[in-house]
Amino acid sequence: MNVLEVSGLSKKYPKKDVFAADDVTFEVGEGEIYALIGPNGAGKTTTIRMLATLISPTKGDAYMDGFALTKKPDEFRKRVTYLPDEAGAYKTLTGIGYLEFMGSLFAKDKAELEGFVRQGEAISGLGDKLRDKIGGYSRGMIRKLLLARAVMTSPKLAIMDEATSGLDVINALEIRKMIKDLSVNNKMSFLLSSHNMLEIEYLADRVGLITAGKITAQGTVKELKERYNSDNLEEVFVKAVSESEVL
Amino acid sequence: MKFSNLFNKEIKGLLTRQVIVSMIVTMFLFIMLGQILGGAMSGISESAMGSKISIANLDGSAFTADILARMEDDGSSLNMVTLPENINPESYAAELENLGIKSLIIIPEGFGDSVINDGENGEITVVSEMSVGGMFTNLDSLSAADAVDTINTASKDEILLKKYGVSDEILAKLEAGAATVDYTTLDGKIAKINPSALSMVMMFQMMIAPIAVFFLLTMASQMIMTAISTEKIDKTLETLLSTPVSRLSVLMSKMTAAVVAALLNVVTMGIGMIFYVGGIAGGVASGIMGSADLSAIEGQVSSADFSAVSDAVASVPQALAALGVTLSIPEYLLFGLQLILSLAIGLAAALLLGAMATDAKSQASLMLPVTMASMLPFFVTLFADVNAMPVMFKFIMYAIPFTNAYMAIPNLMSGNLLIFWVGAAYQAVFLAGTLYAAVKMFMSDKLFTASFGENTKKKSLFAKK
Repeated sequence: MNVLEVSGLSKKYPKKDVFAADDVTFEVGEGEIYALIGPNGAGKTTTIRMLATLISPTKGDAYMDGFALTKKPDEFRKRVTYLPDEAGAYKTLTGIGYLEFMGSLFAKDKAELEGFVRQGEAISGLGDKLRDKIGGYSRGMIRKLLLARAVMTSPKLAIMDEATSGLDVINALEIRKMIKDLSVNNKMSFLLSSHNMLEIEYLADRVGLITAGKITAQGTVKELKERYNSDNLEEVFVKAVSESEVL
Repeated sequence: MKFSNLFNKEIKGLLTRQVIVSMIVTMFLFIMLGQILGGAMSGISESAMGSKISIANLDGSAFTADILARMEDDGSSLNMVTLPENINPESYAAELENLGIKSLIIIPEGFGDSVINDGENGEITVVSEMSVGGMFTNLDSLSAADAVDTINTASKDEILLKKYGVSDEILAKLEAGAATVDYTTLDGKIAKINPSALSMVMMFQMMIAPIAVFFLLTMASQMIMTAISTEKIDKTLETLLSTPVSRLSVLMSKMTAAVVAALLNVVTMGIGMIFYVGGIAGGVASGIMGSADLSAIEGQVSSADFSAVSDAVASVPQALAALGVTLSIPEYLLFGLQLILSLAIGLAAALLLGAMATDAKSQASLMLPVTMASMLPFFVTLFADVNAMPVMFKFIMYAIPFTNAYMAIPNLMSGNLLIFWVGAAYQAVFLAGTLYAAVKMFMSDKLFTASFGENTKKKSLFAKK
């Protein structure tokens, strides 16, 4: 069963001649990790921002639980959490205060909020440091907190732009493992965007390769390697991008 | 629950320890400034006494002529005027206008004789014109007050009196000096009151409202701009707006928190301002009165001669009412309306501009138009009367929407209701346009795509097509 269905989603910014996202179509199944990869400016973030209901599509649509992104953005938004690349957190709040505040925007009642916060505390792995002001956090700590925030409400779909950016190798591995566990054990679906091909190869069930706003190839990592006769995803990436530039 | 959480988050973000400390420091700074300026204002008031003094000498005595000659010898520049016969106090305002002067000292007939022969100082009448324009427009009356002091001193001068053969017995009776009957005119109206007392109260009224408006405007605008631009700069806005809350809720929580924080700031500052203005007023009073008893300002002088106006010297509130410079409750509400309109315009404009900030530097630059639009009419209206300016300047000043708030009290006091209501209508239209643009921007993609800074040429809303 698909959690997200994206159909012909397109975005053209005012005063620009070309579509930043052009007829993007893909779907994400329950518990599936779908990754969007592509060069800078290819349209990954534009696509993600549309799905996070931050910017509106020029044409096309996306659906979650039968709710259309363009017609019922509020219902759509309830089912999604979004972790932007290089996102920050409120420096005047403590870590726990941040989880409580963000959780309160999703929770129906106090009991649900407490559940969210407990979940967030456990996932963040920040322990007593959650009682400190975020202003004193390292970049890695902020990223962990934001990741915990993004998944603590058990969304149907967590959208993550460069999920492990700014994290050291050990922290990055922990986060990847956490994402994998949540998708397998909690059936949480993920839409990832990353330039780290190793990460995508490890995490993604399926990959969509986006260049110049269009999805030019998609499939499992294995399928893409075979199609492009490559040993790894980096080679797939380079060949796919070269091919689209020639076209 | 969501709104209150949003609000709590905003208010905690805005009212940090540094902000609260700065509020308190500013308050004490103004208290100190009030004390320092009190001294400085004494100097200003003394210097105002150097201007030309208009005197109507109804007394033909040689003694009075001697006093006036002595004043000229001492460096006073006198403008001797003639008044119509049997003029009554109700005509003083018109007479001042006819003569083109702002203050007049009337030495009554028989003044010299009563001093020399009876040992009675008599009464000197002082008429002063005031305006509700700017802060320092009413200092002219100070020179008249100084001149009366000089006349008093001279009329008690032993050497001068001995010249006229005044006995020691009469000399002793003259110690008190002449009584002063003060009249203050404003827009053709007249009240029997010392202009200095009135001036102090009016200065307080004229200053406190624009200052409160100015600080409320700039602080609330700065706060809402910071609230929006900081979210963009710290990259928290995308996360916040991807949660299941409406953008309008986010917007409203930010605006409400900004207004609450700004109001708190204005209240703390207001306490400081009371001391500040009190300091200035005290300084002016000491400049005028020297060591004289301040009770004389409100005057306990009887005035049988001028019963046409009033038998008793007016108290300050009575005088303010007689001169039409008090606000009724509906007028205060109208001032409140102007304040709300201006505040809403400031917030909407700051919101619109703040949404374009990409970093702290661009935020500061974007704040500048709002600050300037608040500051310019503030200083202009503080020192000058906009309504008395040439038409072109008047038009330019009123085109700045905040001018209407600064001018609301003078306009209401002077009965310039047409200017007030046209201004209010203009404000409402301006607000509707600004708010529409701000909300539209906040609800649209432009919140994330519009920017002011490095890519201004390409992306700015102000870029030419």
